[in-house]
Amino acid sequence: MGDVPCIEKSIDGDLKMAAKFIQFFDVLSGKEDEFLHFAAKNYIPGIHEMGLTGIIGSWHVAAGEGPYCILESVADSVGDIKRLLMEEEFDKLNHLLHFLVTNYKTKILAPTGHMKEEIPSGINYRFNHHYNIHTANHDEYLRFMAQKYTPVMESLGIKVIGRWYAAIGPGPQIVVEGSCAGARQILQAIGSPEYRELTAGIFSLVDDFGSKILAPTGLVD
Amino acid sequence: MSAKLIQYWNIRHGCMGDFDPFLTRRFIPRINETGLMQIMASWHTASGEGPYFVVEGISDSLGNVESLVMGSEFAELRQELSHLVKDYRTKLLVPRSFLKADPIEIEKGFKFTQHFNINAADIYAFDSFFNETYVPHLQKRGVALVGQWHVSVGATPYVVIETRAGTLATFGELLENPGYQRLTRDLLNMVSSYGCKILVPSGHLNA
Repeated sequence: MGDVPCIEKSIDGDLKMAAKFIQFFDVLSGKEDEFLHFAAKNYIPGIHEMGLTGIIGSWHVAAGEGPYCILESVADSVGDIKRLLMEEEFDKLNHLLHFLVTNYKTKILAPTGHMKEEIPSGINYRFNHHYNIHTANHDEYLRFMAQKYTPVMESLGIKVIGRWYAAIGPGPQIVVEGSCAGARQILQAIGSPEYRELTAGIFSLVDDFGSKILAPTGLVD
Repeated sequence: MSAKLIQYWNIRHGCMGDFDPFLTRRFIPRINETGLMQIMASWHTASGEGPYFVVEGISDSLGNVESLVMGSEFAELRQELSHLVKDYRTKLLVPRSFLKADPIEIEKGFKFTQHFNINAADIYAFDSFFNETYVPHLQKRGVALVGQWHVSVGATPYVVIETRAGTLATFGELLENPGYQRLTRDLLNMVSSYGCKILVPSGHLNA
């Protein structure tokens, strides 16, 4: 796709969000306590000390496919994420992480450039959609997202906070992030006729559609 | 031993208008008329991975399902269906546990299904935890266990757990409940390749 990342969102005034680094994994059986301790005391502070990315979310997949644990980081640019990956300290931290987790994989997301991405404050749940856009329907898709998808999702109490494409890592190509205060709100939306109509509309424009409900783990405020 | 055949697909773009009458007036009635299997639910995957459309049929025996899928009637229906849908796939399930079987009738409510592989070393611990701790917790929160299956034919993970509630709000409360979240983390110590889906009635059968 030809979209150019153009998002600059200030987080506490000093971190701009132009790319996301997503890490997926399952914690090894019996290693949960050790993982929680390591993540809180070593891994997350260690990543932050490098100053290239900020971990803004730690999630469990409440509904959807695994891996079950997700760490969500933001950076000024894809370049900063690449620099992080080349850091010796990151390599050491990840080496230690791999004693505690399995099914580790990563994805770098860049903004599609069609909205201003946001980071919600306070505890929130996520309802994310992912899919591939039909090339032939791209213009119609963009109209649908602007005129229908975002207004309907927000009328159902789910704020659309980001539209991303997978710059590096496994597909599907597009990730649309929704946020709200709780899973109950998401389930209420899912059961509504408006949501049913919305998904019927989006299915005419995309393939490989899937979704995830993410619950906060409490590891990251 | 009963068996369940699950069929999944996505509707082809532009075919929705033809799909609805085909499913309700031809596909489902003709399968039911064979007497080999009864379609008792059709769902949309509201959260989780696709394919988006899910149709469930239940049969008295694996032999009956085999007779159905090997028969010319089913092949003809599949052929017609293939003009309207894509990403078609199936899964054949056999009971993992002999729960008191529901009578074969149209399913009501909403479903939360979980799928995973049980770690070989944890099989006994899993059964004990699942039956004595996990399921009672779900029941206390208004979620009923309605099926425990093994995948006999089709894509793994090989264990499929089906739960049901009368409202989606019940599942919303469950997913937010710290006790449930804790128990799910405990469950994950005994299983791998975990995933789950929330299914809502498609409106074709079990509205």
